[in-house]
Amino acid sequence: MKFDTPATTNPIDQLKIVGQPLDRIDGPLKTTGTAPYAYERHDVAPNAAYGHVMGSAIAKGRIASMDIATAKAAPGVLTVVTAENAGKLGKGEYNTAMLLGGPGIEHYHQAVALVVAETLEQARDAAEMIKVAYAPAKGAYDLAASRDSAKPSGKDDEPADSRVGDFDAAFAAAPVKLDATYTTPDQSHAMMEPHATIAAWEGDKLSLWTSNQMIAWSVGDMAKTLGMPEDKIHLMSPYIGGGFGGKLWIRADVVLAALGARAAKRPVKVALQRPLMFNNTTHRPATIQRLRIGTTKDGTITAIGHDSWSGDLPDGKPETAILQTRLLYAGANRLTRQRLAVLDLPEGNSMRAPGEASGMMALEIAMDEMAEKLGLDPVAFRIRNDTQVDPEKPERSFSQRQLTECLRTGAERFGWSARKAEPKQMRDGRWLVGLGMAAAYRGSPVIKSGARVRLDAKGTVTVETDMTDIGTGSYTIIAQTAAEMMGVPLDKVVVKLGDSAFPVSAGSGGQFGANSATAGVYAACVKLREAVTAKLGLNAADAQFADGQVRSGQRSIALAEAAKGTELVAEDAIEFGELDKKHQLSTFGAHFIEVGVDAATAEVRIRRMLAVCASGRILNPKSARSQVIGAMTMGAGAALMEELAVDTRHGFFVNHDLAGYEVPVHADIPHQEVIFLDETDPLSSPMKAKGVGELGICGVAAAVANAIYNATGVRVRDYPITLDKLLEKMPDVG
Amino acid sequence: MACNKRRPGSGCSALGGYSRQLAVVGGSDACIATHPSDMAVAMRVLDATVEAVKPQGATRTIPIADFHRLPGDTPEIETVLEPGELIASVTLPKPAGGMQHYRKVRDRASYAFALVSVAAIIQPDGSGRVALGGVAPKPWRREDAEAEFSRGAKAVMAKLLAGAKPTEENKFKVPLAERALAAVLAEPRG
Amino acid sequence: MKPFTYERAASPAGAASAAARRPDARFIAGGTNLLDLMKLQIETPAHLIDVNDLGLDKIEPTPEGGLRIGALVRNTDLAADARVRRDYAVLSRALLSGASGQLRNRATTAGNLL
Repeated sequence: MKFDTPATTNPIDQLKIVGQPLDRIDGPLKTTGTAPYAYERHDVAPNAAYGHVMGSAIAKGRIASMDIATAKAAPGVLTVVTAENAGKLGKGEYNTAMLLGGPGIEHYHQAVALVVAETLEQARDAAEMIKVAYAPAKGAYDLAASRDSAKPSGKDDEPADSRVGDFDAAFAAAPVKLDATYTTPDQSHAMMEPHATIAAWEGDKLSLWTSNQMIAWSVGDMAKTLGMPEDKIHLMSPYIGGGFGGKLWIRADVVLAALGARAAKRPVKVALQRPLMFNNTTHRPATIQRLRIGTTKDGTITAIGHDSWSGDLPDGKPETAILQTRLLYAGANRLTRQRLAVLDLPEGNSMRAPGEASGMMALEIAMDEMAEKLGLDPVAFRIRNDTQVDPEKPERSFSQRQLTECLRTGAERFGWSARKAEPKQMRDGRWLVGLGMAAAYRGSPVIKSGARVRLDAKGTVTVETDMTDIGTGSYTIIAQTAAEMMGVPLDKVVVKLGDSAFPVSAGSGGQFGANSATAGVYAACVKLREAVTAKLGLNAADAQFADGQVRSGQRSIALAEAAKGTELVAEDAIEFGELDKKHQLSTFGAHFIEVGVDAATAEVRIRRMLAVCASGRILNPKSARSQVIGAMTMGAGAALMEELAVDTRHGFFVNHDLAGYEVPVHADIPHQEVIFLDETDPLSSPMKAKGVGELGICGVAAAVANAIYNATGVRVRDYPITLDKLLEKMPDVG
Repeated sequence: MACNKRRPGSGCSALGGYSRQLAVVGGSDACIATHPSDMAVAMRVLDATVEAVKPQGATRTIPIADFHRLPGDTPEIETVLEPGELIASVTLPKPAGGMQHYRKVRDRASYAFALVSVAAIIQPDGSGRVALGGVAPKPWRREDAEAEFSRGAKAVMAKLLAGAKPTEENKFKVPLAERALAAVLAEPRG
Repeated sequence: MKPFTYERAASPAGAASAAARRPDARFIAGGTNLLDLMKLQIETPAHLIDVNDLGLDKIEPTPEGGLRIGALVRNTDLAADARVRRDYAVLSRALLSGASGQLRNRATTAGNLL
């Protein structure tokens, strides 16, 4: 199905099942511990041997020599895989560094060996016996030090530089202006389930049970890496214990499990050890961001400029922190520039809302600083600079844009009027109290997505698509979509996901999954409805699917009748035309935060969080809310604690476990509220939905930073905002 | 990575490296690890004693002040226990009274080691005891610092953290400890 | 992790003498640190002496008016003891500020000193 004209009324608009706050259909499996995650598939590979990954002890250089003889001879060891004995390996399209290093080493903890043994303990013990002599080379590990060497970096649709009007002149002439630099640190996904895979060969066919967000990408990249045809690879990832962008692609676990299984001639399971994950896998790269904003005296933006620097391995990618600045606020003269330095730290890549999550951390503090300079309320300042069209291409309108409604609703519901513009005015016992806010913005891309639907003689509808559920609720919203389309209750729908034998979907990433994948299911259901009416001899034009019946004219026939004898199967994909080029598809929101800052110790504790989101039709308010509060929590972590500490001498992230890399715990998140504005977006898809899982993080950290400023009068521009950055300027104790 | 505590003689990656969490006082050129226990800091301020059993069955009593060793050149040896010696019990002396505080300062609200912790017992007359966690290789207390209570937190800390050698990354712990104690002293005494 | 042998000691002196016979042995009580360190091969004992059955899990008043806390008293139990809460509040507060409920249920008084 081609989607190239705005959606009109369709069966989804009934909203009998779609749009309802239904419990997850996979919830009981999760809460009873019976959802089969990749590493636990004893049922499919009862005789799997255990693999243990060894990571490089240097960040850059070469392996001079490697002695695996002792390890190979150790008790229980079946094989030791290294680059030397693995055969020729390719590199996936989505990988920057090789997933098995050697002799060249590209980053710290790059995998250099897999030890396979009968037990995990034997594999781990034998790995300690491998002797590696390294020849280290000098590397670059410090973004600030490498900033001046950074080069322009962009792609066709995201050029390195964008310019409108004459930024320099307009900024110079602006009566009120801000020129400030902000930094965000490297961050880790730190998802609960590590990367994990069981691999099994049957002849030249490879089966992979893994934890992965993008099935088709990963089949393609496994084929490239192993030099084998894609159709010999069966990749399954039905349950994923968190991804956040860290599992968009294959990583060392899946490649090494496949190589280990081939060498050991039996299934092999590999889970990346937690201490390896922070340096072995990808992370959100650190940024340095310079914001320049010039306004008239009444607060109308006349010049807005955003420069961003980040680093990555050679041939890597920039953190696109300037994205939102091109679209969020009006202003006649604009400049954004993206620069990329070569760093020999582990590979930087996507993490929840890549680009905007980091960019909003800087932009939305800058907006707060400007509002203060102007003597304007931060909410009013943003509303004054709203735009309904793409500020770079005014002929392009937003498909929907309710930013000002989000801001106003949030201010009202949060009690924003109680905020004192002057900092340090509110106190509650030992706590200095402050309120802060930020806008939320995230693009809402759409991606081709396919599905297959089956109707059997019992009237059960089964959906098959390689879409994944990374804890987001995909199972449930897909079931809701099929149930609504076919007129059956939710318990008559079976959803099967995450299998490369199923039609290729959008996958989970970039908050494109929910809208795109359900639209693909919609398309397949439209086809199935046609097959049903044809089979039943009903008029497709006026057929109604409801209550397990198909009605047309005076006739009403049970849906199951259509599948008597033979199952009915329909497959289709939603393909998006030019609507998302002619219009800007984006999601908008507003975050409001109250913090307390301990007057003595400068410990920051969040007291209240509110998010207002305008992001198209909400397919399931319950799972959407879970997405948003999870994203808000991640934003709180970014604001207050998350930072991969770089050892710039040796080139690695030091705090590479969950004790050293702190993420919020329950006690850090006392109260969260989410409001979804009523919105449908007929330009986005037949579902009229958009993404929401990434919108929820964008702007949170800045809102926290702004609240801290309001509480203390201390403006911190370097994340995370830990107490040591506030302490010196705190009031005397006692 | 190198660690003299875990692999004696291998060196120390934290010296000159990432040290935000580590000791500001009592460390050595071999090791700046902190003692991570909260309980031990309270035991120290309570003047607990440790009863240990030696392999031949003999018992001895070790004041908690003497129980932990500073790292010196042998950071791998953390206590005065001899090989095979077993802790049997810990004894608290009769109650000290006063207002008893444990103020643990950390980046997140729970499930984290202390950046600084203050265990303090403050008597109605303003005298008191204080031990610190998160700043040293052992629960950190100096009885001579406690004579300064009448002069306030700054005076106490000047003695308690005398000789501190913080790194650029953890130097904030010195004013933080002082401010945390000041906050404790500002609380009602009865 | 290295293979290791294991025994349960029956008395404090027995545990200590077992340890004296095996310089490569470690005592194990709650195991909240030792097992982690063994997995990382920072600790590589060849023998573990389990001291959980030594009867050292009581909190008793002393003739001097204090409290004797057995080495095996769990952090959770110590923090919740009414005498500790009343007379040694700093100890109860310190215990509750550490680790998590699950860890405090396992962690012992002696282990936490080490």
